[in-house]
Amino acid sequence: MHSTFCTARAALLNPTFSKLCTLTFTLFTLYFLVGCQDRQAVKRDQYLAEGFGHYQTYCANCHGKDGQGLVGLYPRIDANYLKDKNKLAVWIKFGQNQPVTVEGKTYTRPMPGNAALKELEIAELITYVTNTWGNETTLWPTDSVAAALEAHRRLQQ
Amino acid sequence: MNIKLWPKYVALVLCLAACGGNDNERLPIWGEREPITKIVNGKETTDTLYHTIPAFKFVNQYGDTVTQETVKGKIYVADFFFTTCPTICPVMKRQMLKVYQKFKGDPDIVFLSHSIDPAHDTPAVLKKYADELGVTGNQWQFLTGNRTQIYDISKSYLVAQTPAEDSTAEGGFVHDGTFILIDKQGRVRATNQPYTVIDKEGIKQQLLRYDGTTDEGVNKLMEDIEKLRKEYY
Repeated sequence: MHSTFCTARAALLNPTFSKLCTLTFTLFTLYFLVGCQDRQAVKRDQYLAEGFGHYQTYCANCHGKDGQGLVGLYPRIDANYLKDKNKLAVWIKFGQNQPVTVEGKTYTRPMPGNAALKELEIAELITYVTNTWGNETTLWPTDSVAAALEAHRRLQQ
Repeated sequence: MNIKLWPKYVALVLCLAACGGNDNERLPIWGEREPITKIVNGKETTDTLYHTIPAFKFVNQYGDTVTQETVKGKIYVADFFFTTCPTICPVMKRQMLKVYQKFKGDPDIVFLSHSIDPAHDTPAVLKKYADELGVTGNQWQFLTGNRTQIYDISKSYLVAQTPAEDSTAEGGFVHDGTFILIDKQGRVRATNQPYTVIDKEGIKQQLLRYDGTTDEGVNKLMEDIEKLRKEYY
């Protein structure tokens, strides 16, 4: 539509203007696309930064500043447990009391939940841990946290 | 959970340092003291009676009785914790583990971790905790017993925050993150060189006691254990 607009107008004037118009449009489109990607990357970086802070505040006491765990008491943050992000959201919010096995070693201490955490904070936290110790490279959005928690609530009823 | 500064104790130590004219290399002795006047060989001499840890009787992770006799003639590090604590205790145990590993097998150095939730932390629960922390033998003992006696003895260790039940605190108890250094005479010692820790809010604190939640506090403690044992060479 835009090019139709350009061509129609430009034809009335001269061919140089037409070329200029097309170039401007192309540049604008490119700028917009790149800008969009930048914004996504910036948002992910924000999630990572916030998530790092939440991790240090709420998780590092037991799981360690570098996710290394504490001997046989608390497991390290393990990539296998970062695959199911829905479950992760539920564990973070409500805690969990199932044995966790990492490299053949089983850990049985219950993990306390943190019911006060908001969906955004959980999204940031999951983005941080999965990008740091899992294989994830993108952010996990707040909507997904909300959906996971809602599904869990429905199951509980 | 609060790790407070101890202005009261800081003032006390400054006063002691001013009055005592101590050797700078020696770690100050904390707590109240009284002069004792005695007649020796017809001459009147003044001695100082220092604050010491009183007699106690607790049970360790093996169900054995532990008393002041257990630590007699030893340098020891004491702290207060509980096994289900989700906040500072795991951090303290991570740090204490470094001190333990440094002095592991050393017959002069002992560790006493007192549970402030003795109703839950039975010897069996403490044994499992010690096992999972990789602690074996008798060098590091995890103590349980009469709750009032444990809370009372914490005051003798001169901690800023006496343990207390508090339903608003995560885990249900508040307590102090200090590691307390006790010399062979049962006296509380602490550093003579204040060190700086920076908390999560970026606030700088100058400390004299050993903050069991920070690398700085624990590094200072390890240095000072070495310094203290030189007094007994």
